[in-house]
Amino acid sequence: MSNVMPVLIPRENVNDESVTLVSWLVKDGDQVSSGQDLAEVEGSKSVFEIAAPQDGYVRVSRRVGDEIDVGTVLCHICDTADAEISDTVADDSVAGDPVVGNGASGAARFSRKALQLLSEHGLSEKVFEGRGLVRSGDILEHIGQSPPQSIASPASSSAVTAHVSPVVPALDVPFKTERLSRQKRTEARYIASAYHNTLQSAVTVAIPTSGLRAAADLHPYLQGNTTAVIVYEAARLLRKYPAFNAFHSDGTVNTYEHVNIGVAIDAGQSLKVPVIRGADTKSISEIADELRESLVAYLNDEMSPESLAGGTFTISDLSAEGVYTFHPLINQGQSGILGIGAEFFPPGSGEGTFQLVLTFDHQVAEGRLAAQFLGDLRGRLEAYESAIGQSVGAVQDEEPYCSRCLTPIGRLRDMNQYLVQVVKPDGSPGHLCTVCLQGW
Amino acid sequence: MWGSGGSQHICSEGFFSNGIQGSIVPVSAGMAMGQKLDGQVSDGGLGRITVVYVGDGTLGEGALYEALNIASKWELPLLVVVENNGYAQSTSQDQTLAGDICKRAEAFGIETDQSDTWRPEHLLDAASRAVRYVRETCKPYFLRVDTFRLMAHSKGDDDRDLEMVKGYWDRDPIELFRSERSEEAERILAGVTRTIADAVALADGAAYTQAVSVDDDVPDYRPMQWSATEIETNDRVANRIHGALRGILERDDRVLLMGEDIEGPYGGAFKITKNLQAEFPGRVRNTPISESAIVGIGTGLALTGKRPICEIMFGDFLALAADQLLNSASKFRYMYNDQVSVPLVIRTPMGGKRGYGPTHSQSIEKHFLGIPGTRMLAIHHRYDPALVYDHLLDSVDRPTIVIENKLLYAMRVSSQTPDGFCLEHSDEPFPTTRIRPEGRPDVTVLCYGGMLADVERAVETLFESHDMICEIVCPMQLYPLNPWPVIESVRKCGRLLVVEEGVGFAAFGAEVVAQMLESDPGVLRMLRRVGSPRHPIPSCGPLEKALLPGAAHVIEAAVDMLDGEDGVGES
Repeated sequence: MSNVMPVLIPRENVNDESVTLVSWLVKDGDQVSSGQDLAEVEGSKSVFEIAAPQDGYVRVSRRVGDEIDVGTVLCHICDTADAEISDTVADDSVAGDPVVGNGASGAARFSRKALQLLSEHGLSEKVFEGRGLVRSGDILEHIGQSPPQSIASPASSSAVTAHVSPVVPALDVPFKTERLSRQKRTEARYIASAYHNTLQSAVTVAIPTSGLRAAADLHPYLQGNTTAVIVYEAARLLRKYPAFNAFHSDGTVNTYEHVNIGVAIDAGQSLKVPVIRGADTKSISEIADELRESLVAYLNDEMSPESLAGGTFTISDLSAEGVYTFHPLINQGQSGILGIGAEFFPPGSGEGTFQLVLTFDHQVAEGRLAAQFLGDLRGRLEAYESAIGQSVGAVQDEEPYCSRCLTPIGRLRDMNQYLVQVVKPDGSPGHLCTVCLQGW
Repeated sequence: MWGSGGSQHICSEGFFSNGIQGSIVPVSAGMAMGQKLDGQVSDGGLGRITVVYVGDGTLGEGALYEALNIASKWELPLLVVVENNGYAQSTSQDQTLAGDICKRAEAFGIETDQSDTWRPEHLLDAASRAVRYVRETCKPYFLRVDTFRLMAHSKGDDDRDLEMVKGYWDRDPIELFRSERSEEAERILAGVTRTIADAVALADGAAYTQAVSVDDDVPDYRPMQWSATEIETNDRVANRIHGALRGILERDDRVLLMGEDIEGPYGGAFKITKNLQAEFPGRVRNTPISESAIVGIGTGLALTGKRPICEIMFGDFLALAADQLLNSASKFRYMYNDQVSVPLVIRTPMGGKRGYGPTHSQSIEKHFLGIPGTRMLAIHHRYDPALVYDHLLDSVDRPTIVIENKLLYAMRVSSQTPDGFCLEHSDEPFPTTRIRPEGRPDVTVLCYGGMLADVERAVETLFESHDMICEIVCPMQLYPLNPWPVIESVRKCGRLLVVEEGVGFAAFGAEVVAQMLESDPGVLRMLRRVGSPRHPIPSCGPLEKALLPGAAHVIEAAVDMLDGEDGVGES
């Protein structure tokens, strides 16, 4: 008997139950060698190639655009060009179980309930020929009365579904059912999974807006995009607070070795989270540029799956929406998310204030640590304000000053802070103040 | 000289020691038997013999007498030396020994002699006589050597009267030699001291022993390759085993069968060895009712390159050989640093439903599961047992327990499965059998051995009457375990029903589920286990049937599991 090896869709991303076939890189009947890419498929996060597991001839059984369940057959590799693929092997329902020979065929077999339904609906047994064992659920599905009982849905690697109670709609109120978009379903799965795997807690601080405004003045190329400043500062602080750049799993804390900050964007077309990789090593202007590019890509619907993958921490800025405070939900595989609220003016105070909310996973950190993180962040943002106030004099006096916040050493002494010698990104010598140094 | 077992477990050029009192005696009888079978004894009186040393403390162990009895009955070239120092660690022989030491051996018809370490010439003569006797007659011999331990047994356990001990120092032949011929003695002593110092230096400079895995770990995941199982014969399981054993005896003269009542005309309690003794005289042997000696002698035979197949008449009796399995056979390879292997096969029937009562009906394999260095297989009627034994005897490299089942013996080996199900087996050396439904399964049912027949019946009813499709996964190799075939199946439906005939507490099913969850925590949504209740097995037939798991229990559990989920299963 010739050898037929099914090629299965691997689980590239824990959240994907299915992928979309983007393109074939080979044709039906082509001879391929082990390791050669066969097809491109798209998961919710990325496009990836599927390689041939062995040498042989490809037998294609899917079309471009097909949505294919993870673990099921993409195609077969046969050791002869004209090998026959039996029904069983080609059938999705047995995918994942490469079977050599022993095909199912012929008349179906019916359970008692199924037989009863057949006669009730006047259906012929012939309709189910080749279906093997047929239950009542299979017949109901066939006549469209009810979806198949979810019996066969494989448990995904998250246990979420097992805990969800059935939803009870409001009595006697008619409603219209629309299937959620694939996008929305994926998003929900991500967040729900994270929600069930983390113990979410949040702390909030209020910060005078003046610091941020000063930063925007200091870096005119930001064009008022203060999100970049917060991404920049938070990224550096995450090095000092690795607990928020981590994820919890089965009693272990897993700390990421890179700081990749996802910035949530929703400008009306659905929520996307482009990721700024290595954010702790990038300058404010680089971050600002990347954010701008992401926004353009978002608006043109041109975001690449790669740009959305690999986030280790998330920032959600709803200040432009006029939202003062909210409770952001931690994303899957992360332990923290920072929410940025809009400026508001507390009664009796002429000074603008905004809120920063840090939602964190209580399994890896605690409120005190979260408060310290926010306190440090606040200090770093406020430092921009002092920088602006002092910068002119500092530069003129040639007194040593912090290369980042431009605070001169004299003023630092008043604040009980110091300068440390550093090499600046352009290679020239400079100084950093102990405020800016924190988390560097 | 190497060993990984420390000073109590040394192996070098035919020298083996073990830290368990008495258990080495059946092993040494097996080695003597191997030497006898190789015909070296009759070779002009220069044949090899086996000498086993025990202390008088070992006289309390039953295994010793099982071995003495068989060594005498089977005329094995075994010299038993008892170092009689009067104490078992700290306990005086006055408190523990009844009767006479030598008369114990004489009762088995064994020649005995007696000497002591205070008369070296006498001892040498006695030892020479003993060795010559064993070589010339090919019979066992029992030499009692009285002696005294001048120092503690271990550390801090010497509470003997100092005056009494001093008396023995004064008589000690080495001490006497030192005082009478001090120059020569000092020279010898210096040599000995140097040898010891060299050994210590060598040991100090050597690397620590590395931990080695004696069993294959859980293999990395690879998709199983499944093939349709086609069995051409329609014979009964008992006949397939019998046929396989005959074929193996025919083609491999290293193979020996041992067990209780296995010779014809009786041919074993379940007739597996009928007529084989007539066909292969001397290679199929009835033993006394001595399970420890059966497995111990099997171990000794395996050490000499034989391929013994021991039958334990009822699985329940395996408990009587537990020490041999756990402390000797399974450990030798490791303790003796890979210098030896123990290719030993133990066949035993488990299971009830024949009204044999509490001590002849149990499925106690769980107590022997997972002993590092062993293998356990469970045969069933959906994969030809003859293939299993053929492959096992070709590849056996460790003590291997094969679980048979009393009801299974009468079943026919067949690949005829009900309509709508495919019978397949994996590409493992001892394959997992899968009965795969055509259609998405609702439940995976895991079972092994004789339970497979019950599970098949249940699965039929579950489909016909309960509208439920099951996939059956039936591993043959229970240890070392490959959980992947089960995980693969459970991935399709998230529900698992484990069925085993023994008591399920801390048993095979629990282990599979644990390994499954370690490998893939999200795979399992629902789980039920069917096993025997925590209760001795009654002999009253109807009560036994009601208690032991059968098709009805499987159906009940499956229906209950699906009822436990909203909107699924029977209403």
